[in-house]
Amino acid sequence: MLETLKELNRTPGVRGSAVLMGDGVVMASLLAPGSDADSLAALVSSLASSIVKNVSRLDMGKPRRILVTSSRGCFSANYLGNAWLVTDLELEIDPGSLELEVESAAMRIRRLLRRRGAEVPAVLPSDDGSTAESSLDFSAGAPDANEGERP
Amino acid sequence: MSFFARLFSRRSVHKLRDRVSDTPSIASYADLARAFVASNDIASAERILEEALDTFPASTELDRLRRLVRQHRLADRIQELRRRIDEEATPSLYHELCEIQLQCNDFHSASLTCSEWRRMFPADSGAELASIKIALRRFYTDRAAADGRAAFAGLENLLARDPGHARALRLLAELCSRIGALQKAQEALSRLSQIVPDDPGVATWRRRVDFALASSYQSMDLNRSLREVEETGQFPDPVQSVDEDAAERRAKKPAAPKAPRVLDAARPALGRLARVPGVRLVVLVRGSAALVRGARAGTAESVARATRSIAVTAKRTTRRMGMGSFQQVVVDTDSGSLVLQSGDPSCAAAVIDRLTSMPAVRSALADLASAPASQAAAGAEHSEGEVVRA
Repeated sequence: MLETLKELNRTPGVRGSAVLMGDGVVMASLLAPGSDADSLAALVSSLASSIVKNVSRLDMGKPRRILVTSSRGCFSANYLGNAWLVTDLELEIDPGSLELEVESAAMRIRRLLRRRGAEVPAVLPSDDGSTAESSLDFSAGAPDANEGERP
Repeated sequence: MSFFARLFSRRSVHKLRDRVSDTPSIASYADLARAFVASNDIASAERILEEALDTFPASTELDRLRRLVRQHRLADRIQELRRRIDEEATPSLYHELCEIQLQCNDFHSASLTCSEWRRMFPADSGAELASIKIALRRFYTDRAAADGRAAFAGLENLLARDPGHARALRLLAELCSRIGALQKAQEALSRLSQIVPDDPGVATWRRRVDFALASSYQSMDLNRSLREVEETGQFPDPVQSVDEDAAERRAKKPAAPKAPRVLDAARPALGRLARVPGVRLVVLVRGSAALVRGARAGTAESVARATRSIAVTAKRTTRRMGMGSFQQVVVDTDSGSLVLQSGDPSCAAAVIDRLTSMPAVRSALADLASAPASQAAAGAEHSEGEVVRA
């Protein structure tokens, strides 16, 4: 997984990337120096969960990608079934120009997650607004030995 | 510019000036300002736009032009200052450059200028105060607690070395006052009133703080106050800080004309956006009210609530992540996209089909979210959308 993130980080305009579980746990992180992966995971998962819940109220189905732009940064979060691929983007870059690279990395990670833990229910809110617990079991596959990744 | 081009340009300006005198209108003023810009007379363009906005204060077009012209002027000045600094740097040139970059809200460049200033003139305390001002402006704009803490630490350091620094005490009192840390504000103001005992503004400010502390106002400690501001995005400002610069700025700013019914005024702009091909739903949220166009019967309220909830969470998240003020979120789904644009004082969102032109929607949403209520009303019918509580 870290290899995929490394490759993604080599794309011009990408400052860093990470794979986060829907409940805010960091699975793999190659963020830019100075970024705190744990707090990013907590904040992004809370935002993503709010967006998923609210988008369903708009009858729009499941989100595939969330792109957030602010005055000092920009990040995208690609939905991986039960996790999110978060990509920290440079503000000057047009996020549309990186869509292919990011989506292709997301597909590879999605496949990897399936191989490791089989199909799992997505961490999406039920109709009453509560979120389902992730049942992904990572013990099935050996975790990568690279630094930054958490089993 | 060649002689003939200058001649034609002058003639054109002359004609347009006559047109403005005969029939003053938004279009005639805008044309004259454009002609001034074309002839490189930026100062006259700015002056004519100021005059135009006195006559037509609600015009979005004139306001947009004035912003563009101002940006142009500031960019020119920045270039000029950079050139002079390269030739022979002085602290006053750095000071002016830093102030202009702050005016342009370009905090990054202002920080770089400050670092360079410090490197070139290590003994000059101006660079230190300027970097504190940058942190403060960042905090007032983005409301991230870390920026507030950095500004506070900078001011404390400066005051530890120079306890009689009146400007630093003023900035400290304003920061503490705005975030509701009134004990700290009181300390700063009492020190400040010893330095400037005859300043009536400081005396009034101090009395207000004393009164608020003596009555029921619960002053919070600095860290809690900063976290609270980050969390809510609001400054409690319980005593209306009376820093002279801020008060002067407030006094200079003309009061926005009040629209009789805020959301009614935005209906035409909302309708225009809803008519863009591929746009399925448009929402404008302002305060606790919302205007929805295109929702299925009976769902307008939940659409408005969903939009508001996403905007509130996104604002909080970007502040906490130190990413500055939230601007936009785009959510792509299998059936289309939700584009939500944050503005001041509103936020606007649209649900669009997959192949809809995104730049057109983004720009229309930005105009809708940022336009004062009275501007969005410019001459159109009042029959668009459903008003609901968000």
